[in-house]
Amino acid sequence: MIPWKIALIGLGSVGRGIAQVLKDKSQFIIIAAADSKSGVVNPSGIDIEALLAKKKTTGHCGDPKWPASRIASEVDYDILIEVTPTNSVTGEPALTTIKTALLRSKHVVTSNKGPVSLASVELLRIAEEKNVGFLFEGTVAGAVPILRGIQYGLAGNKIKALYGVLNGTCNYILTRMEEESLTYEQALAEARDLGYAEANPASDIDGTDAAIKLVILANTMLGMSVKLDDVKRTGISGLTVAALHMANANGRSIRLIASLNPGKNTLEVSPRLLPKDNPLVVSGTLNAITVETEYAGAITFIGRGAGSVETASAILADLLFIADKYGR
Amino acid sequence: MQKNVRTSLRLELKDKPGQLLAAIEPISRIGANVITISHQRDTKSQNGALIVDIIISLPEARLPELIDALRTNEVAVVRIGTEYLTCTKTFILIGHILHTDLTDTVNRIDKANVAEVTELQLIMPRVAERSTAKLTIKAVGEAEMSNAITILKEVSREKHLLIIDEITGDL
Repeated sequence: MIPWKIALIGLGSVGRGIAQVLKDKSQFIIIAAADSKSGVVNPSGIDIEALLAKKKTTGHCGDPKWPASRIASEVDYDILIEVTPTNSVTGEPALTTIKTALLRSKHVVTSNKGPVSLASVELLRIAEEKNVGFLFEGTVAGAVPILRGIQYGLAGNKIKALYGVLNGTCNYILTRMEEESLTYEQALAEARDLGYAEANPASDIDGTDAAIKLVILANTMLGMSVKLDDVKRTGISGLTVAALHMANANGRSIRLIASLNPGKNTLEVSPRLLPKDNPLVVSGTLNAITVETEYAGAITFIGRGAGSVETASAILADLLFIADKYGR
Repeated sequence: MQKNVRTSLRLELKDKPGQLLAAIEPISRIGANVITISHQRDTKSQNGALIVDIIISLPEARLPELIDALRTNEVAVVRIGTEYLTCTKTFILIGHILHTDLTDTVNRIDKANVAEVTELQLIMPRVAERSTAKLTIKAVGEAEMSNAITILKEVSREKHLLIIDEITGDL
């Protein structure tokens, strides 16, 4: 069996998680890797342990002469994995990296929400023209196979509506406010301490992150054509403990819900009241998505929406899908 | 003057021309105020009659007179009820609820005449801090509820209140 040659762009926590996971998979071999400043290329396979050790001690992984852009356009890889941080305004530099690879008829797998939310239609069109895969399961709800679940598992079903808890940080904060009567500020501080919230959690708590995922679902799974600005957004920073207690006293919970209804053309992210026994009322950092379908009724997916190994799981599934569909 | 009460009536009409008028005419003559009429041509009773649900407001003492008048016109009154607000939704509001004129907030929803705020619970932690309220709205039907929600959202925007509404449906 000839292994698939991988170029790994991005060595943050997700990139490192993938490197770890692929180390034990003989089907795939990483022949190039890059971080934001440098890169390394070795056609017979990169020593992952040494790469990660170097990254850890020096802060960069290789030679500045091999930046991501050069790897994408010059190296002879089969699949490019793009896992750099999300830029939701321009999608760059990931957008150019992905486009370069697709135009060279290389498969692309990414967990980067920026390029997918901004340019999925164009990127999927190029992939189809070049007869290569462009897969991004990890962009929505991490390890939860929601995209493949809708596209293949629920194939043929019209989707009437979709509701989702798509941001683990917000869900953690709401869970702690509800269960421990922490104030919003206390719960956010705790989320930061535990690494669930970033130093600047603005895009999580104002609903932007969930809205970006909703745009990806709408455009790639429901045939809509929408932008981030089309999503009405209300975050969770205004919530009070009293609100959660009042909801509780009435058998309800409050969750930040991303919802879309293709028939009414509505997209919204806002705190909503739900019956406590609704499957969307998940605890901690979990994600959950309920899809209301034409024939199958309501189906709910629940699982871990973030984390390095969890996202690596989605990427691995995408890689295996490519190996299966485009197998040589 | 005697106080008006709201009453819901379910009427059965024969499926032939002029029957809706036969139902409306006595209501008008007695001076009852029609709040809402729902007339679904595709739902029929077991004996093939058309069903009309109507909510009116009139002095309670005049109700028997109205029922008689309807029967004289061959309109069957199959149900008389006083629970006419059948659609219920709960909301949570957060903000300076009291200091942005709570009476006005409630009145603007009530003014629609087919929807009412039936319950309000308010928690105020400290002066100048934002308060939290649970609000229950009842309405005569889905359309009226949807109007009430539109008004509530308008008021909330105007008064900078955060509104949390309920997900309902077949989830």
